[in-house]
Amino acid sequence: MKIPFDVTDRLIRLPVYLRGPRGEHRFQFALDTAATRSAASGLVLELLGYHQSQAVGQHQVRAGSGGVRVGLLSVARLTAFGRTELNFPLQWLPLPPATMLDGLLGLDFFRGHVLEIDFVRGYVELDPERKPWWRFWR
Amino acid sequence: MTLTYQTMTEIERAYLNEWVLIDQPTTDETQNVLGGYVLFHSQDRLEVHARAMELPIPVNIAIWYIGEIPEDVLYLL
Repeated sequence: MKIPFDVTDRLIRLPVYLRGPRGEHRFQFALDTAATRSAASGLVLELLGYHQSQAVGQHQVRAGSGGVRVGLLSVARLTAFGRTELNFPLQWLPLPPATMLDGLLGLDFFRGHVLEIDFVRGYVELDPERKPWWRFWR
Repeated sequence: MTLTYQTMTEIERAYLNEWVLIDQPTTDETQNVLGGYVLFHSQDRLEVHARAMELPIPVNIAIWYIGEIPEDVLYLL
């Protein structure tokens, strides 16, 4: 499934559907191929109806911008690229509102799949259709 | 107040550089929002989240930032 993005934007922002105890929500997550695990802002997870006390474990998150200890929380449903994951674990990130990030789609969402990022045409595609070898020119 | 359905193009035109709370959003197969009913909008993200928390459960909403991330913001994720 192919998702267009603005090649001039600062981040690759992807639409993500999340379902929690309070209902159905749609946010924009940043694509982060440097993130071991996907994550969501605590603000977003609270909107879904979760509480920080439900996040289990204390994982050390090392980022280029510093380190923080966070817990993991399973959201009832996460859908991106037309692919749905049930009880998908997300890191509870204590991001300040000014970061303008709702969350990160990290490597755990993409493992076992082919992710194609085209910075020229401006699209991200998960599991692109493989073309026959004799159609190499397209 | 009667809300009218707005397409994403209309929403982007009306609320540039704001956070928008969209009720009953219509989406395509990639979950990209195509339109909906704008319940609230603000440059303050926390105000939009607070308004979303007041909605009766179960909600069916989208919270979208309209516009580009400011030039002076860099991310090192």
